[in-house]
Amino acid sequence: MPGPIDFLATLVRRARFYLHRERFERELAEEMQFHVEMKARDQECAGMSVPDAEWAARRRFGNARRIKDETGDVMAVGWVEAAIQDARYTVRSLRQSPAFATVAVASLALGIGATTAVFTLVNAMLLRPPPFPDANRLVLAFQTTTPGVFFPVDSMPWSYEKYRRLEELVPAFADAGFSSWEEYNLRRTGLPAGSEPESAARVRAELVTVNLFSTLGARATLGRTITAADSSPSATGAVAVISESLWRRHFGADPGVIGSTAALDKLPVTIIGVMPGSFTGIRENAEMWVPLEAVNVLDSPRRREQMEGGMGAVVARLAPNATLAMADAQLKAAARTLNTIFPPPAFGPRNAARSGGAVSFAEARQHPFVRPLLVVLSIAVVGVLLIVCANVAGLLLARARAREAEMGLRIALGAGSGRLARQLLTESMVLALLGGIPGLAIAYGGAMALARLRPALPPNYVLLRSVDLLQGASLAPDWRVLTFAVAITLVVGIAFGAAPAFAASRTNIADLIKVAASRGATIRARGRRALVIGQVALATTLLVGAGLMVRSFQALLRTDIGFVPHNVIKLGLAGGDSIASTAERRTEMLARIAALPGMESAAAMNCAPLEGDCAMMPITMVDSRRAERDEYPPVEVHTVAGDMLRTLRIPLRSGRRLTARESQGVPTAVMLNESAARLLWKGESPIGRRLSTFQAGQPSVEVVGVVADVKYEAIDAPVRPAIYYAAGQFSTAGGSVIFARSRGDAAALLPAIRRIIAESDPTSAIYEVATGDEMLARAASSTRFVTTLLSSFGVVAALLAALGVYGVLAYLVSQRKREFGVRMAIGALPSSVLALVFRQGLGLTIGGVVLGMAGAVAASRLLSSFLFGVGRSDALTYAAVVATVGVAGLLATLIPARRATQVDPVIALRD
Amino acid sequence: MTKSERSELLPGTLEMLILKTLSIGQMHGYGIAQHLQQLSQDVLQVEEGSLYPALQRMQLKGWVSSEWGLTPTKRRARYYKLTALGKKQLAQEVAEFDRMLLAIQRILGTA
Repeated sequence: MPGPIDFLATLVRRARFYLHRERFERELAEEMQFHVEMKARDQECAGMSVPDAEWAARRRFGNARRIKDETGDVMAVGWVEAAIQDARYTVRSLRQSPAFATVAVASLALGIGATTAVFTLVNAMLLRPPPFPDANRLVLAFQTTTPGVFFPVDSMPWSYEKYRRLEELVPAFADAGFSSWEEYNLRRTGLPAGSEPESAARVRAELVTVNLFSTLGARATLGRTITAADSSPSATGAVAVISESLWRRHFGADPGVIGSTAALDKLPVTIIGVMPGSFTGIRENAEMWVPLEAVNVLDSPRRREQMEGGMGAVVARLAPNATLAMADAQLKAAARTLNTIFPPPAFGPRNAARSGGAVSFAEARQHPFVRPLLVVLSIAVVGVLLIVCANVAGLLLARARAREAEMGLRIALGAGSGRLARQLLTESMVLALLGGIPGLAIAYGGAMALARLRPALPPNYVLLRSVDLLQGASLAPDWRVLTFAVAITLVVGIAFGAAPAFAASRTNIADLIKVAASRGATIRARGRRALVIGQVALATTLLVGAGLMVRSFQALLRTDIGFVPHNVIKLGLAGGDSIASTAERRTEMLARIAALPGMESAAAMNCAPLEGDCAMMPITMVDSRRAERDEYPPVEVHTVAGDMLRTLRIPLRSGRRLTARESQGVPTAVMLNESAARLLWKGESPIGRRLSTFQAGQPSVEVVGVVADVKYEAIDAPVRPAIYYAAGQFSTAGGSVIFARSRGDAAALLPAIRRIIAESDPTSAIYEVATGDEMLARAASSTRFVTTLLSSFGVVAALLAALGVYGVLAYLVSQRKREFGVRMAIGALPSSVLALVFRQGLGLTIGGVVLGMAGAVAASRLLSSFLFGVGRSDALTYAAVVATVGVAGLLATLIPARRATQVDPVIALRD
Repeated sequence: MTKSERSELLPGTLEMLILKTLSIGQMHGYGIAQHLQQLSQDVLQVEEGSLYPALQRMQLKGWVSSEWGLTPTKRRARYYKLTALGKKQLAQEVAEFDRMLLAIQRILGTA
């Protein structure tokens, strides 16, 4: 074993060689020249003629170039130099075949780009930790009615009172913060006299305990966060921290915002800090944070009551030697204690005893939809990448055939087979790099385009309401994305370069010189056929996936949602006391909106269809019979004003609609949807029957009409039973959503509607304005997102696979040109030659389709959570895919087949 | 002389033979080749194609060093000479080779 000193010395000598390699080469040449001359002189002395002697000497010496190559290889740096040389050679040879280079580089760019784009999403949504220090020590405490299982969607929110008990019940928490949820109308106050009056902004605020920011370890970019000192309000009200987006939207990104005052509804606040853009609170899309303790002091008892009802999330930091498992166990025990202190309500969805638990905060923030979505996308994009690799490998193999003569010559000139393989590998690396660089640009553009599709997630407990999938996620490439792009480029380069390099390393010079290298060619052709069958199979699988999604999307759009969204405009209306409290003013406002030119009707309701934000109540009495606890599922409760049925085109099935006849104050009449009618009276006419949705003892109401089922939840969710009250008969109307139906473009009337609302109630905030078509688009957006992506992957895959089929057949035809010529010369009909090529093409296509179908049957399992209204083994989809791939395969066969029949026997034989 | 009467060198022996040759004194590449051929009475034919790479390799390992000089006929040539490390290597390789030769002879029953 050489010691370290020897090794070092060798290294130094090598470095010296490398630095002086030009001199080294010159000297080597001189040395060899000297050798040849000496030899010639000796031969001459032995009696040879001068030219003969020289010739013999040269011959004896062998290949000078090879000796140089090998002595060069001896140098450690030989391979570096060789690589540079190879790369240079590759660029030169690529320039000579621009068509090949373009196709190869473009498909590589596409493959690497698409893969990196999907990885960008994976990175933004799964890999990036929440933007808090030591985020892996943060946990979310949850309550559930299914012990031990955390489903974000039906986990029970905490009440503040329960949260207060956790401190003693769960010692594994070093610190636990609580955050509840409110929406407010924000208006700036204390503006200089005479300045423009501002319209209110609707903001999503979190009411947080004063320790939440320290628990999270979050810091403000401007000013400070909420601390223990902020728990009681000062003379100027409570403190408030705002998000970067709100700061930009409503405060003009004014750095002097700290210390300015505002009102949240009627709650006075002083702004003390601006959070960084990455901080969106516990629920991902909050814009404002105010201390819960101070709000409880300031705000009306009604608000406090709501707080205790429980809308809260509890986020805790684990104590230094505590583990998640410990916290989980302690929370389970705590739930038992809490069940005795706070007995579960007698009615409603939350009536079961609770169990508790803890999950990592990072995991809890993840929507359950995200992981399966990303798994599907990743698999699809890897499929595309494999097809790209197979295609480029196919191209390289075809090129290797064309370059056999060149390779043979180089081997004859003394290039080692390892050296050739290395060169081919360098070529594929150079190709991969050439594809990788534009691929990165494609990835960034692609990720941005994906973000523009704005897939929205259905609401859940952590996120509370439907949010954009990519909201707040930064898609700018970070080190993970860059590393991934580099790694995928290298892997791809090796993957598609390995086959030709292996083939070249086995190239046998004797074979080459012998009859047209038929053996090597056969091996190569067989390899290419396998590659193409694989490509067709992958494309088939992807197309089946895409087809199933397209069918789901169609089914989604065909679904009867119970109302006609076209020409409808929706405005969220919040705050304004006068709207909420006086029915007269609301009626007047709706009448004025309906009277606008081009407007047909207007109405208001407490929640909007397709947004899953509606109130639920238990049925307590049916006819004169008291309902058993849990006899009926809770029903959606809607309060409507104006002509809702006409505005949303909800068909009235029987009975009459609610009208102005319904007098104010006490509820007397309701409409049901068909589901409720079926649920409660099982096929009998509900008209004239009575029910109650209140606590026992409340007067019951008469059912006067039945309307069609409207989807208030997601399109693919089942319709829930629903009850419509007249808003005027309801004491607390809550938030309002205004709907207006126009005869033409509803959006054009928006300014006029806004004006009327502002005149009716200047304190109310308008938010979440959307046309009916936009509402529908948003509700279908996650399905559309998956459909769009899978379809584009499928189409690209199919095109590439067709290209692959074409390539193999074109190669086959060129190889058997002579044979075809001979066949036709001795009388074969062109049709028989045509049939021969078609048989080959058909073989590839059918082989691929059969394999692909098998793949699809297995892979569609992954898609099942995205499918709607279509089975996993939908015959129509499979048939359509078979037809599509078949036609594509046929088209790809056509050109080479025609070429085969056009072979001129004379020319073919002469070649 | 036909090819069959020449012997291919055992792998790894070329370096030893070069070291041995150089232990006589410094020599240029052609001289080494001639020397080996003559001493072996034309049995060992040194391929120039392997001689020069071997010389470079040995130079890298520090067994030989080289410098440019003039031949008696006033031609410029690169002369190689043994280093201290090379001498040690030679002794080691000769010992090794003897051991191997003995082993082979034993197997062949000629020892």
